[in-house]
Amino acid sequence: MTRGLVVVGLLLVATLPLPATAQDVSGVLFDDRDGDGVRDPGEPPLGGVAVRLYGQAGTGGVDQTVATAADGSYSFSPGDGCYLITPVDPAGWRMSQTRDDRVPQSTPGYLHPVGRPRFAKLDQGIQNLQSGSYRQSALGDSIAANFNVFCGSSPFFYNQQLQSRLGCVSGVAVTLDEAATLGEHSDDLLVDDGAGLNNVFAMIDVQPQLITLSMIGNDLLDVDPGDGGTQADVNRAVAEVLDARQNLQEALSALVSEVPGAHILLNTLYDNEASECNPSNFHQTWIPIVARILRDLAWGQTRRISIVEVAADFAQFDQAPQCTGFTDMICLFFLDQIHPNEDGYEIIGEKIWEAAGGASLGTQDILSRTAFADVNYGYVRRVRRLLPTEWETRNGASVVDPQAALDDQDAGAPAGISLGNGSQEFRVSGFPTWFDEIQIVRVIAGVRFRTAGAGSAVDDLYRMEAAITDQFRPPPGFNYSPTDWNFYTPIVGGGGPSQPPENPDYPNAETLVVPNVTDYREVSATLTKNPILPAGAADYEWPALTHEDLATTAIRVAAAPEPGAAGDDDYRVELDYAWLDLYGWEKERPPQVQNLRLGRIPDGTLDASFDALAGAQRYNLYAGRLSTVGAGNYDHGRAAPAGPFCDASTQAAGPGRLAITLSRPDGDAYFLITAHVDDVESPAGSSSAGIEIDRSQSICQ
Amino acid sequence: MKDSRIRSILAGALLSVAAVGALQAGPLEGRWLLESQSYGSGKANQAHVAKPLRMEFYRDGETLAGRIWFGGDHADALPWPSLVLAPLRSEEVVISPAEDRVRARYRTVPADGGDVVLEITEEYRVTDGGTTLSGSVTVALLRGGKPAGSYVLERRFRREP
Repeated sequence: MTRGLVVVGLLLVATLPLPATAQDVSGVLFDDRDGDGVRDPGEPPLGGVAVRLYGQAGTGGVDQTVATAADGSYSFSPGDGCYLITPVDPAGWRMSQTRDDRVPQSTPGYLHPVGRPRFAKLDQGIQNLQSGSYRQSALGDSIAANFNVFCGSSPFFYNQQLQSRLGCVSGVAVTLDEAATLGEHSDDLLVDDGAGLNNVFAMIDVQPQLITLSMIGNDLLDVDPGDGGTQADVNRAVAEVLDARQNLQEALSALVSEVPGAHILLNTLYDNEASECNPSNFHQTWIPIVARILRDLAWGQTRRISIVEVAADFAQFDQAPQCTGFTDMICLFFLDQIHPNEDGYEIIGEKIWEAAGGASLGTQDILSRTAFADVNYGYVRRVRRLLPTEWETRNGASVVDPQAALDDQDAGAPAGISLGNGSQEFRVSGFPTWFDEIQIVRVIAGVRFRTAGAGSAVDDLYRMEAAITDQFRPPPGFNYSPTDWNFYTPIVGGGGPSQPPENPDYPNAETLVVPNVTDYREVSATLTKNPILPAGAADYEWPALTHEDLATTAIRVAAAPEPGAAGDDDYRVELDYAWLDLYGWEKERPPQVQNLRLGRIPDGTLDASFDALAGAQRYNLYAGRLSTVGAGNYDHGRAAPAGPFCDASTQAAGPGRLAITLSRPDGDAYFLITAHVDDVESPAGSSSAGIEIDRSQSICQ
Repeated sequence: MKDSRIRSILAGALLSVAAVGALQAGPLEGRWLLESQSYGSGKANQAHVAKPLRMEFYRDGETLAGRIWFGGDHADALPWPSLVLAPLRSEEVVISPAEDRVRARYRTVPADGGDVVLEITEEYRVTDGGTTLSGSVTVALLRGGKPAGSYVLERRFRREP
């Protein structure tokens, strides 16, 4: 009888609107229009998006899905327990980055080891846990191994913590591969050394469901110029950072494609030398850049990788009084001075749990918290995919059917690229620039490719890269600076023998995890450019790419490294196509300018009058050859017989009317007027079938 | 806090190694201050500034012995080489006054049921006309008897009066 009463009571609770209780998980999904992971004023909510909470409460399993309300909000009241929160990505949207904003330690609720919660989610996590077996692998350097022999906690502490919490969520036994390396570099991920340590090849072999990765610190330590370093020392260190970026791009993209069931959690790099209390100029200058590089690496993959904001939360401890905060997180033993101590690793443990979308409530939480508010998720929309319109070969590369690399609708027909020695390459460019209503937040550059031919990649190593200028590498003798280092974005191909020549770690190693790609593979990366540092500012700004940047952007397949001997000519890289995905939002396009009338003035000039457009900032007049229109082509843009007359001078021409005066072009011509409203150009017009006139001709940007 | 941590770590050391060296006056003898410590070929100095590591080689009967301590007070000095947290097993300790060099290789003893062992190799040599003791410390991790990575610290000590 008693049991029956309890069940009825539970049913009642479950069917009634739940009051706010002390066991809530709540937050907001929003259109993250600056991509910073933080809900800013004016950023629209995302309503109607499914959010799932899965886990174990004290009373049993919990698996609930709610839709966000019109204001983007959602909430669960599951009670004490361990849970994963997983928004279901709306079609065409990608989760923006994990918040990396700082907050003073004096902020209420700012407690070790949690600091500021920085949530992401574990894609495929619930599904994999429900499958009944779950394998987690620790990949990377000594931080991945939780090296802390000199200061307390046991190896793999934070991975074991994650393992335990995932087990708590699911009741499933989660296995953990404890085979990260100590003191190793990013190119070690790409070397199949057979030593039994975790690298990309080991991950492909074991096919885990979750991979945690920490890597880049040792790349930097070994070339650390210190404060007494020369510019040459800085150049070497920056070259190593950029080489590590390339290695990690190859490693991450290989993991994404070759371990399809895994979600990856990538740590950002903390650095006690970058704190305000250890004023190492090099570290303070460059470590924030390294953190951004890691965030961009994670964000741009074809399948999302969660960034673990270790850097952002460790940075809070810089702000502790008397400079004791950060150093209290580091093992200051005389044979260490680098690795976190137990307190530091606890922070990493919490950040990695948050990056997995983990929430522990009540007795399960490290701080016995009973509610999580502001578990917010920002999203950025893929607004448009741009395809290149031009191709070229350089330095003798041989390409069969190069035009195919421009077409994503040709049933997989590729451009067959044969690269020999030296600097041979194939480039595609000419990405459309006229979609001025698109407010670009992020850009992803991608390629779809395979390899073919009887040869192998052993002597035909290749790379694929994107750059926003024609210059993919710095000129000889170039001196890197914090605001001038970002010459290219690696997409395919890593370090190994293409290390900076002064530091050839693996002269005989391969640059490609999967050199021979028999089936088409898609790989992508966040396309970035140099940061800026406004005068007096403490932090870098990371400007979004502009449409002007896209005009000069190219993606290339290049021979790499530059071998001493020619490659096997039978080996080909087959590029199906390349693309740029623009993420952001769109302004409303203005309507067409109406009622254009042409009048001939006795002096031979023309008078084009039209209805004024509300809110117009400026007007443009285009003239094209009439003969082109019949064939459905237009030439009023770059090949115009006259003009174009951008931001043309206008005069009043009666109520609600304006006019532009121009000289009459030679021959028969057609004329179009456009207007810019909020810096977005109106359509030039439509065909009789209602199809907009070729936008590429509208060049008054 | 960091100073007290270092002190407690040293106080907890369990030593099972001995430093030996045939007595012969030479440039090794004397007190050395750790001036710089960097990872690999990096140049960033990780040496502890507030409580610098000191090492001393001194006559102990017919041999030359070593000891280490932090800061200026050597009351807490421990024989060189010393580590922390776990007993050590010495593999090799050589103090060669005649060659102006010292070398120590030692391992931690794993805790009950544990399979993690550190093998540490310290090698130093007197250079710069007797004013500098420079060398490296290689910290290698063994798990289940298999190498699990390592790192190298480059060190430079300055002779103290």
